[in-house]
Amino acid sequence: MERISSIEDLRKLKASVEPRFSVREDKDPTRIKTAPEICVRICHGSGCIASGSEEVTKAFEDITTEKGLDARVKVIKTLGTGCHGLCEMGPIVLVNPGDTLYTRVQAEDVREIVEKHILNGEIVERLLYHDPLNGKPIPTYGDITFYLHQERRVLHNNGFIDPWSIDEYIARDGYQALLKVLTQMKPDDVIEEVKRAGLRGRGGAGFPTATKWGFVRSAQSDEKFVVCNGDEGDPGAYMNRSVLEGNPHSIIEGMAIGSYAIGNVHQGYAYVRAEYPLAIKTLKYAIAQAEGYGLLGENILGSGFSFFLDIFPGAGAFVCGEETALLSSIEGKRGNPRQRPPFPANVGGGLFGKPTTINNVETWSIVPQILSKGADWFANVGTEKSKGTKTFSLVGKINNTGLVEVPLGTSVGEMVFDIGGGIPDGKKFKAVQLGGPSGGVIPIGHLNTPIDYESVAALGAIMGSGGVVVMDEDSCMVDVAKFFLEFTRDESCGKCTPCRAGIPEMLGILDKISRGKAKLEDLDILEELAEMVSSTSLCGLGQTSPNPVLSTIRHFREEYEAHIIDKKCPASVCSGLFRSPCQHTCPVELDIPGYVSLIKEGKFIDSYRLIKQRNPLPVVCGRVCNHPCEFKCNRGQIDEPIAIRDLKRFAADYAYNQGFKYTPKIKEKKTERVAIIGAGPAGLSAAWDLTLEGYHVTVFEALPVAGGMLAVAIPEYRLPNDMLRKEIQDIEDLGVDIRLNTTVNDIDALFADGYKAVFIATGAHQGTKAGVPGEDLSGVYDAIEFLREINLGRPIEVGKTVAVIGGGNSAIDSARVSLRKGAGEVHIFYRREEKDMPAVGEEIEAAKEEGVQFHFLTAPTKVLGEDGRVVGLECIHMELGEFDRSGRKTPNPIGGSEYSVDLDMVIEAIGQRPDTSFVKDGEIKTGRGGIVTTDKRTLATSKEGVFAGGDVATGPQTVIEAISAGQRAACSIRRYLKGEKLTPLVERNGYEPIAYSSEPPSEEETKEKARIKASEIAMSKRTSSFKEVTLTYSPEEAIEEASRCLRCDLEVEG
Amino acid sequence: MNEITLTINGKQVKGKAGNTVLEVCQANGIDVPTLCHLDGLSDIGACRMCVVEIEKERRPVPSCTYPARDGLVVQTNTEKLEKYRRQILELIFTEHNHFCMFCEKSGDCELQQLGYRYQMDHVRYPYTFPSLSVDSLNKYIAIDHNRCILCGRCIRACSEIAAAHTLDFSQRGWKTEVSADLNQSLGESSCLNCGICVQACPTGAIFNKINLYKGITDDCEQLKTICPGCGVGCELNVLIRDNNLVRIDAPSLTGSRSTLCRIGRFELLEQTLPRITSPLVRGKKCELEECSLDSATQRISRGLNEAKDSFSGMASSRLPSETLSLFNRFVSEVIGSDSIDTPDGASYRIISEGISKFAGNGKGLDIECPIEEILEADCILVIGADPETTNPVVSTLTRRAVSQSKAKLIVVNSAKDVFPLWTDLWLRPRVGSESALLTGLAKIIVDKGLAESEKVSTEFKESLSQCEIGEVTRTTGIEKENLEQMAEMYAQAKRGVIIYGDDLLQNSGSGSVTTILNLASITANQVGNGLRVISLKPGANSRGAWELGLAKGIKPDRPKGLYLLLSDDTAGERLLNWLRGIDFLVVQASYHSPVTAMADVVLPSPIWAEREGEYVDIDGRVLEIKQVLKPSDGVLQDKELLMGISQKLGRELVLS
Repeated sequence: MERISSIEDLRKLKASVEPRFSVREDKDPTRIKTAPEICVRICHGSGCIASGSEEVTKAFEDITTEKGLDARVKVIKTLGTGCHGLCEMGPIVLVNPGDTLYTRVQAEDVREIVEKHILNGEIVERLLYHDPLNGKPIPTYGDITFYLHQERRVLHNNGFIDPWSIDEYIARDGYQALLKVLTQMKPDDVIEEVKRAGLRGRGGAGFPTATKWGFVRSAQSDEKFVVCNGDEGDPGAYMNRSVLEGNPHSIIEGMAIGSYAIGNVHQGYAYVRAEYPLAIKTLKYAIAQAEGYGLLGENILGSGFSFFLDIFPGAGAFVCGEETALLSSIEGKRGNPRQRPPFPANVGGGLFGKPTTINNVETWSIVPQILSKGADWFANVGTEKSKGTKTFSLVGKINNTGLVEVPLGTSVGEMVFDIGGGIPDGKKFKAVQLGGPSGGVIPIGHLNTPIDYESVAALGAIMGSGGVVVMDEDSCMVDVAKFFLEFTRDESCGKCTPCRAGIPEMLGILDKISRGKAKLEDLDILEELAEMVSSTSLCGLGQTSPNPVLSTIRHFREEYEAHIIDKKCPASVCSGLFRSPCQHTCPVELDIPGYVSLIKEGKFIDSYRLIKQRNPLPVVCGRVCNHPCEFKCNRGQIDEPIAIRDLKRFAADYAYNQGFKYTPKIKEKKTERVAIIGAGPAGLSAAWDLTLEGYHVTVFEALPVAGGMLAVAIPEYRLPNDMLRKEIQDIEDLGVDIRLNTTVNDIDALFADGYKAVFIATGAHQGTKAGVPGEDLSGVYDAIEFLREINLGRPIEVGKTVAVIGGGNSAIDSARVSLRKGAGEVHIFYRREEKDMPAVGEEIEAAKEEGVQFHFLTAPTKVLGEDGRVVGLECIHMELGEFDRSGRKTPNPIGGSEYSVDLDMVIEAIGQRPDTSFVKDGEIKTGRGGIVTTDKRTLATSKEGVFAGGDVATGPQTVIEAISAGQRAACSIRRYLKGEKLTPLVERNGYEPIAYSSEPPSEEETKEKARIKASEIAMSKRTSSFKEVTLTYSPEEAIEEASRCLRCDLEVEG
Repeated sequence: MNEITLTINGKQVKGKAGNTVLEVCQANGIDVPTLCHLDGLSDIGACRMCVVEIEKERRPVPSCTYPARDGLVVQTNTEKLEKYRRQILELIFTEHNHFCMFCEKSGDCELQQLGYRYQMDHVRYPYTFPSLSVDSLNKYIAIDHNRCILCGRCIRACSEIAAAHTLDFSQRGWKTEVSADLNQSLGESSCLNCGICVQACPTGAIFNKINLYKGITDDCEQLKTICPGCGVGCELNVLIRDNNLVRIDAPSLTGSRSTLCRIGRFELLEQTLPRITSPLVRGKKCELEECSLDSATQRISRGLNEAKDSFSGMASSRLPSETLSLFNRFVSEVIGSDSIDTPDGASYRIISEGISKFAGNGKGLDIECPIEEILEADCILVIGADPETTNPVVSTLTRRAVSQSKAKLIVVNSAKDVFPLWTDLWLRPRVGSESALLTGLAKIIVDKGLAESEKVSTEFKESLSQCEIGEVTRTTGIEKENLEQMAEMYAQAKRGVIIYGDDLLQNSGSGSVTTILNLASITANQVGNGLRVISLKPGANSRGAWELGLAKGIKPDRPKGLYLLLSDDTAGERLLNWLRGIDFLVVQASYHSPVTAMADVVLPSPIWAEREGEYVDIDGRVLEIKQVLKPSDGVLQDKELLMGISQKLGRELVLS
């Protein structure tokens, strides 16, 4: 290589290389048919190499060298580039002209790409990137939402140039900044420009780079050093690796510029972790190239300025990312941090005691562009205090795993949902961990938080070097804190006491919490310890190590309390607390592995008995339970979760069809009488449990039927009335006295009548209104009223064209009932997007199948009427704005987008609330929306002897939650009547033991296999009647489905 | 010295520029608890007990590392800080296994004291009860890792003071342990047994095995005296309880001669041989029998008569000058002989001959430099010497110079591996060829113009004219390149020090000594009026003995009778062999030993701790030694005994 000694040399070189780029920049896909040269860029980042990009490259080359491919295509140039970012989709292949992006390309796919696409212009659709939300293929790189929201500056060469070619770097204006600086700028001017740009250290702390350089510049020493910190070690972070691998010269150039600005620097070190062999190799090669051109080394460009750069491979200690430890490591000592002051910038504090500037890879890498494009260019994105862009690695439970670069100030929500494409498998977003083990969580309620140094810190996280770990509902926050503490415990250098001994103790307390062995006081000790470790540790590792603990406690205290008080891990992660995730997730802790096993063994009646012991309403739950158990089923990670609900229904239906009646043993009769108000699932299950305890129970029900919402809100086609009645009959047969059509207006009167305890379980039966004009018109119903009238067989005239407003289960129920009642068209208007609908997915699908029409991002503004009757609905289109506290984007009306539709019936399904007007004011406290205030664990109200549970105490919830509340209330009432202290834990004992197999599944049974779908009645028969749509399993189907169970309960140690 | 003013706990206090906040606090009587800090060691801010709040600092900072400056506002004892300190102590107590009742250090333990100070009646965190090892393979020092608080004081003492670099941390985080070398047991490691780690340890993690459980500091009387181990003259802090030795510490870790070595710290405590508490004479059955001083004197008198004029005296150079001086008179006036020597007298005669042959010298041993010059050296040539054996502190100073001041180290020794891990140039000439090597070295230095030409006397130049480098390499077996390398390293040094010892003297003559002095003088390795040359003197009072004229030498070579004042010294193999040829042997000694086993008359003598007087150390400093123990029953001071004998022999000595 010849030395470059002038701007003219550099320009000539640039001009000679630039033509190479024209095909890469050609975005017109039609030109692939005519272009004589094709460029195939194949990602050669570590991630893509691991998934086979080298084999793909070879396949391209092999096929290209085959003779007689085509006369037209003269050149197929393959090019290994740095990381494109979509790492999980690798190997990534980009074909130009056209910017066509192929994902997960394997060597065997290459022939198809060449023959179909390159030679014939047909894009290979199956290999394209598919939008995770709608599954649609996106052919062009730039149209992928992942890239649309990014601003790639640090990464502007990544994926575009060949990282092994200094010429290509130069052709993209590389080394021009260095030349400019050396020939036209004074060192102080360089520092001033960086200062004006507002560049802050990208390693995490965000210290202003120019200030740092200024300190070292003014330190008195004839020898100074610059260091590049490439010891990227956060779990899930690989931003720096990608820059080192994809654009190494930017770092070299940046360091040379910095050295010139600082003065008296002749030697720099790039400290790169040895776990990054490709990064080290690439950078080493780049250094040699730069030296060959005279852009590095003695007398650069004849300016008299000399700068040498060496690579120092780190030995794998995370703490060496801490600058003082990194310096010790380069000095050849144990990589322990040292106390500052003296700071590295001071005499005595830097490398070998000399003043030293240490900057992160990304910081150095952006410096050349700041100098060549100017401070204003850099600062034109970002926030007031955090300028420019920042790279992040987006990992965890996210659709688009990868490397991203966005302007600082981009919100967490944009990062997760717009760039990241949301959470896979329809799971719910929970939090992101920002800043790795030194950072903290940002929960769902803070999705609008702009990612900048200050905002992130205000929430207890840190910017860190840019690792973003996305967590969904399956992440337990105690477990997350444990994970990061285990990391910092093992990576602590052990020098200072708080970090060395404090982290293991914090971990010990967390471990106790995760095993349900902790007390609430332990949480205080933990917080106190965390505060001390943070305040007194020597270096950043120790000081920030408690962040995951403190931030998870701060944002998820209730989850910690669930572990401590309820002995529950809401995410079903802390396996020390449970036998199996399904049972643990079930609000009544049903022995699911047990009853599934009994079905597998063919013991269907035993299975039913086992269910009924803990749930008096298996027929109901077998049909309408929202089955939280299935979401946690480990089988779901192999193929699909076990059909736990369908199996329950099978067992229950089987028992009823066989005429089997379950008669549990009632304990010794007691004298006390208990009154229960409301015969819904909460009231009935409390009645069941209390009767079994020997108490006399009277249930007062205002409606003419028992069952509450089960009877009056769930349509017949989902839950046949006769089946429900049978189950309620069982309860009556046990001795529960249910008094229908009896409204309780005075609780004191019940005590006066001799009842010793009262359980309020009146549900939430009042529909809420949208509050738009015209709601009082005839033909406007609220869903709950509508469904009740239908279920009670009362006459309701259903219109020809029905509008249902809302996105919950009652909206779907109302729509489907309307169809069955003769409506010609049913429209659902929902103000958000489909993915935000609270209704159960199967129900939405069924409604669509039955012909219900959905209108998303649409809200009613006015009910139109004539002569007091509904004739239409005025709607408005909505657009999505910021994220709300539930993590969904807030819909805002688009002014002027109003339109009207003609219809003759409106059903508002936008919410329910309890009617607690019978509760005397002040005696029993109520809260927002009329909800009775209770201790959420013991269900005690503010009045002694009175308990409340189910929807009346929580607002609309699920059946299984109501049953759980009834059991909880029964437990508390028993304790109350015995004069015992109320405790938060529900006692579940005294069951008759039913043995089942402890044989784990065979290997055959664990092989991938879809769940057995219960059959449904023909579509033609559905909307014409209220016949139950879903049928139950046959015994064979049930056994087959039950055989899929992995029996997680057997894996528990001990 | 710039004075600065700080506000500490609301009060204005003065400090010196360059002090740490902790130093200012300590100088002003403000108590700040510490664990990893130890005067004399560098500070690392590891334990975090000394954290203080400083205005404008976001977090508490360790006062031991924080530089004090004018106007600093410091709080040392806020409620928050005290809470942190208690929590840190709790962590230390739970991290490893601290059971005071089983610990040698109980009562002397800094951790225990802090436990009391913070009323550590319970800890709130679970004990981790790790099962850590106890390393007790070393002869003197054991490490119980269960009691280790990882303050790193032992490690810093080992590297900064002993400059042995044996100890360091291994593993990391919660698994961190103090380790010797690459995870060796201390007994199998490069440990030199200087014991500085024992003194540095704040807890009972590193402890002295040989005097365990003899008493805690508060129960002991502490007296200072001088180590009788070698000529370096280290000060000892001796702890005494009930007239028993409990422990020996270095009085301070800061001085160059107060670091102690295995001899001063451990070997002096070892009393394995039986004491001699009464006069003994060899009886009819050829066995030593207890007798009165009178009958012993009679036996001596008979011996004197039998040996007539072939009776000599020899005294250990470990004895104080007063005793030696009296013994000198005893030999000449009582025994009537001018034949007297010390066991190391031969070395002296070679050295002094060598010095006297060095041009223009009239200073004798004063031409040498003090051993502190080693610390300032940029090049050290150790030739024919084994300081780690004879004068361990000299070897410590050498290692310190190498590891801390980056001095170059050249070792020339034909027989032994000296400083095997430390040398830049390590030459092993053929036995007896050191003299030739030195001449060759001088020749190269002069020929290559590396010397300061005006200092090279024509006489010296002439003496080199016969030297031919080819011949030197043949004689010594050392390659020319190595000689040249050595010449450059030494001659280009600005503060080069040459250390030589017995190995050189025994193999080469006084000419080597002269050459060494010449080398130092022509290469400007001078200090004041002297030269940067040190001859090692093995006895604690060798220089005193020599200067008192006790190293005259014994004539004839093997006298018929010998009065050997050995005291608590031991005899080497060579001396023992020599003694075997003597007909009549009187030994005045503290312990039964192979020497007393061949004696005709044995007389008791006090041990080092039981006597007083003065030493002249390696550099010529006069040091006072104190009696720290009362002599055992029946043991008289050597002087008293000698005077008693002279009286009984009718030739009474009178103290002037």
